[in-house]
Amino acid sequence: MNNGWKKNYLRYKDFFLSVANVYKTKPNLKIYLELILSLSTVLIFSLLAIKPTVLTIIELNKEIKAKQETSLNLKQKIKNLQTANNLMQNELENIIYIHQAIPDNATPETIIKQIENVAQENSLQILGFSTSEVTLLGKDAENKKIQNELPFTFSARGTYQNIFSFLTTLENLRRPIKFDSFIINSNISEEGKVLVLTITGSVPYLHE
Amino acid sequence: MNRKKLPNLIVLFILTLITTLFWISFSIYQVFTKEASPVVPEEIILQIDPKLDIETIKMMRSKI
Repeated sequence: MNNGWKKNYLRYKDFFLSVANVYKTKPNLKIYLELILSLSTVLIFSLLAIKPTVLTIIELNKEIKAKQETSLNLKQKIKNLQTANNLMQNELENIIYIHQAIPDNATPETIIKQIENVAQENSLQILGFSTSEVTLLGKDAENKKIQNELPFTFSARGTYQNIFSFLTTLENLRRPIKFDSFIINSNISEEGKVLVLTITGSVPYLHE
Repeated sequence: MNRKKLPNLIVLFILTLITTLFWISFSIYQVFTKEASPVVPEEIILQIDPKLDIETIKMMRSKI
């Protein structure tokens, strides 16, 4: 065992010394070896140290900037919400008029009652009132198109002055009415000549 | 001009180094140009207008 170890030791010692001699005697080899080692070091450090560090620094910087911007936006939103809350508290008695003008649901009964009252006040004889299909409570069916408007058709009979007065009052209702069309027909009945008014329009509402 | 040709290994190392530098540069450019992912959902950041149109409310009040 001892002989084998000594034999190998001497063999590798000679080999190393001969390489060292070549390294000392040949300047080209010295330069190339140093160049290779330098390039290898730069490569390894670039890949394993510089690249991940630089990328992490840039990503963290961007993240910090994005979070600072978000924080500013949220602070501004909190401030706006506080202002809106104060404003709402101050104007609480007036907010109810907004809900009356544009309610959360279609509430067709309200507009029907209002139009009926206005027609009675102006001595109009109601001939008919119809609305399109509407969801009174709950959510609409998924496939149904959300309109946020309640279309209606109304017809009544009366004199020209009454019709004129009726339309003027309708325009002054708190709940806004969009008139798509109104038609006035002249009919001759047993009572004499009468005018028939037909209105097609819609009233808006907020959708839940 | 008696120039000695560089060994192939050195040329290979130099080319690898250039490629690596390009790779790192492109990675840095990509990180710079990438949009930062939103920290909170868009609908939460969305600003609200705290103003109230008092004139319109007054007009509504006067209606029946």
